[in-house]
Amino acid sequence: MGGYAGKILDVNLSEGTVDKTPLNPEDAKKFLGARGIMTKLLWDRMKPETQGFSPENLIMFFTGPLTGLLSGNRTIVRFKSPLSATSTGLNLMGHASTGGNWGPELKNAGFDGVVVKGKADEPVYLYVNNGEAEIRSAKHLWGCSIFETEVRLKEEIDPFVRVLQIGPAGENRVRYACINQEYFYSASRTGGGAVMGSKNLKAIAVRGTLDIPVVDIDKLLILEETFHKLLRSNESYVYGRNRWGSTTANISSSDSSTGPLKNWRESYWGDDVETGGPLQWESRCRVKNRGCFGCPTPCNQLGIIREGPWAGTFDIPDYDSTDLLHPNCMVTDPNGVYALSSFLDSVGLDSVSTGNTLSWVMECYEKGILTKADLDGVELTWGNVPAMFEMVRKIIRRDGIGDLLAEGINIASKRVGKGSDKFAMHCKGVEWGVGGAGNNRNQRETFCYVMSDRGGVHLYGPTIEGQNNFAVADSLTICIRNVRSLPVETIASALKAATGWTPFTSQEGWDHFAHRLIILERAWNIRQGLVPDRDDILPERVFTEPLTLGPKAGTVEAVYDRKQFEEDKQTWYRLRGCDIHGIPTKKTLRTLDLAFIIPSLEKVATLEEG
Amino acid sequence: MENPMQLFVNHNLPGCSGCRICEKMCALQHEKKYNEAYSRIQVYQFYPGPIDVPIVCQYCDDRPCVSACPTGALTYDGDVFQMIVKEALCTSCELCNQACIAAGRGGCITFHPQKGIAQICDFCGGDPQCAKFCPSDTLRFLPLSRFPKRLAKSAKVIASRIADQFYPVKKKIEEARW
Repeated sequence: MGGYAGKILDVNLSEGTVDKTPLNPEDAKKFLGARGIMTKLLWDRMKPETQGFSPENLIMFFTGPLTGLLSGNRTIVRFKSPLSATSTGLNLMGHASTGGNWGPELKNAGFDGVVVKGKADEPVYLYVNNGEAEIRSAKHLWGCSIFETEVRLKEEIDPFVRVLQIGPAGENRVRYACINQEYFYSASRTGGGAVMGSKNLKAIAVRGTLDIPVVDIDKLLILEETFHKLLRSNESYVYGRNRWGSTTANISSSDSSTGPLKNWRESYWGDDVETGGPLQWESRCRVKNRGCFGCPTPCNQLGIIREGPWAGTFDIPDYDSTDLLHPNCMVTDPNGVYALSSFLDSVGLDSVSTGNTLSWVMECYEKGILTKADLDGVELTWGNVPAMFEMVRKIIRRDGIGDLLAEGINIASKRVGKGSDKFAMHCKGVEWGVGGAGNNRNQRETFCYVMSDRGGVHLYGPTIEGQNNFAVADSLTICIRNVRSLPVETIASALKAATGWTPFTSQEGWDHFAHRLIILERAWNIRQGLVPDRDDILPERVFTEPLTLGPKAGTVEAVYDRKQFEEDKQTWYRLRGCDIHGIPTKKTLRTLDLAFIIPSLEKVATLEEG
Repeated sequence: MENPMQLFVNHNLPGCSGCRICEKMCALQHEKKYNEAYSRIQVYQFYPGPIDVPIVCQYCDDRPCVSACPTGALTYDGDVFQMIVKEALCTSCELCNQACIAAGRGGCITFHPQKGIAQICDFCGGDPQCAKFCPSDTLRFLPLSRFPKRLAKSAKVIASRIADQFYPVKKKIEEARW
């Protein structure tokens, strides 16, 4: 089977076994790869009553048909998230993705994906090498930071080994811990690191020197050149990305009033945007670009802090970390932002959720909901970087107040009470990302958070079109930034050259495939306990507190009208073939070739004929 | 006569982005397979950083690898200015690469993952694919003779040299256990 390695590695940590299962070609044809195949596997293999920290929870790391070829390099991780939850506390879908070199290496090692279940008695790591795998003790690595583990495993095994790993935050099951590789690349959202930590799985190290089978190598050789040219020729995009990275969005999001400021109270911060943005990074710290495997337009900006108390700290700042740690927490010292961002990477914490959590605590402290005594003596005022460091250390150790904050702001705000949930900015338990998806005030794009299968995540896509692009990109494992520069036909011919077939040749087929996947994800969540009428909601602040700064202040866009929100929601349901309660209709399921899920879905919801 | 064209690897900052397109294109050119183990160029990662160091044959004048080869499988053809590996003679003893490392060079000879035969850069017959596709202009095919000899160093030495440019401030990584 071209394009696929053809095998899945099934690991059971409770019994200490590793098995090789063949990849079902039917699944591959219908669900393509990575995100698609994993959703199908989750549907087949996971019981609805499983929770994020249950040993029966599955965590899957998958590649797609284009991983290792052309510019494909993403690794997608799916699991039952400990963070994402319905309002009754049932856990929902978890999803994260990362670039780097791990995915291609896994495919060269002869596997399309790794499925891990069970829980090891002692810390372990998994070593995969050329079609074989073994579980090894990780006692000597437990407690090590991300940076140290990376170096130690490379020394221990091979300089070319690729490592996916968790830091101390994941080990202590902080609900928004992430999975890192190569220091600064992380599959960060929805708490994958906490799931790995709950299984006592420290790392997955991979080394592979096997061929990736493809159907038409000559066509792919031509396409390598085409991809290279198309990606490099998108000039405005390439120039900005190569020179400044994703932090360029700092400025544009402030100008269009779609960024976060002061725990999402405002969305515009005028000239102050310069403080932690790309221009500051370039002149103060930037050293060079780093890119993921096979990408001709590398966009990570590696640099080092050169002065002040954090001098010598290196970092790759991302838009999300700089935005949520900086304006959202009102930090004015750019070096402080970079130092925090680097520190979070070294301990394996998701900077988006951490930034949101800290800003929520700051607002609680300002309003007197949490006192200095509640915070164990840490004065978490707006922009106080040393106090932020102190609080993050507490969260990682789950020490005192840190134990509460490690649960995420959904659980924390419910326990704290006193109206603090009104400004706890999360959807389905997952704190809001930014990433150009816009904030609460940007009404069209709020749906990224409301309708997403995994809560307030910015990598779900803001519009119907954007969501479709993400669904296909995550299944092929091409970076979304590359997908935006490539025509559908080119991607389709690449897929055909790799596998010999393609489920889409035009935009229509592309959308149909994406629609199938998005509906299956929604149905999976409904089977786990999601009630769209009750759970597809936004935080109170969006509807009640109008913006007072920037271009949107004083206009209709300053606040989201509730009636408008209900209308927008119904539009989305209609376009996605769902009934007015947000449940997919039987007709939709049949058209999308998903009739097999009707019987089990009928047990938990009333399905309309449509 | 000295080789007129050289594969120049610019190890100065900003330098290599670590995308490994060079490895991929090298393997495709020589074996028509998606498997970076066939590549004649290897990108090492060093930490803290990550600092990426591509290592490829720099065509030294003294060629310790050639004199180390016991069977005469590895030779230099002065007519076309290329290193040649005679597959039939190669015994996969890896002495050539050991000699390269022992002479303080990069250890740039790789070995075929199935057959074990030595693989060394041959400039793709005059149009090196790595330099053609390198997105950061780290790899160039240029008529230079001075630079390459100086750059035939081990990846570790080059990485520490890059780190000197990279870190005006030295700081040890926090190794405290959590």
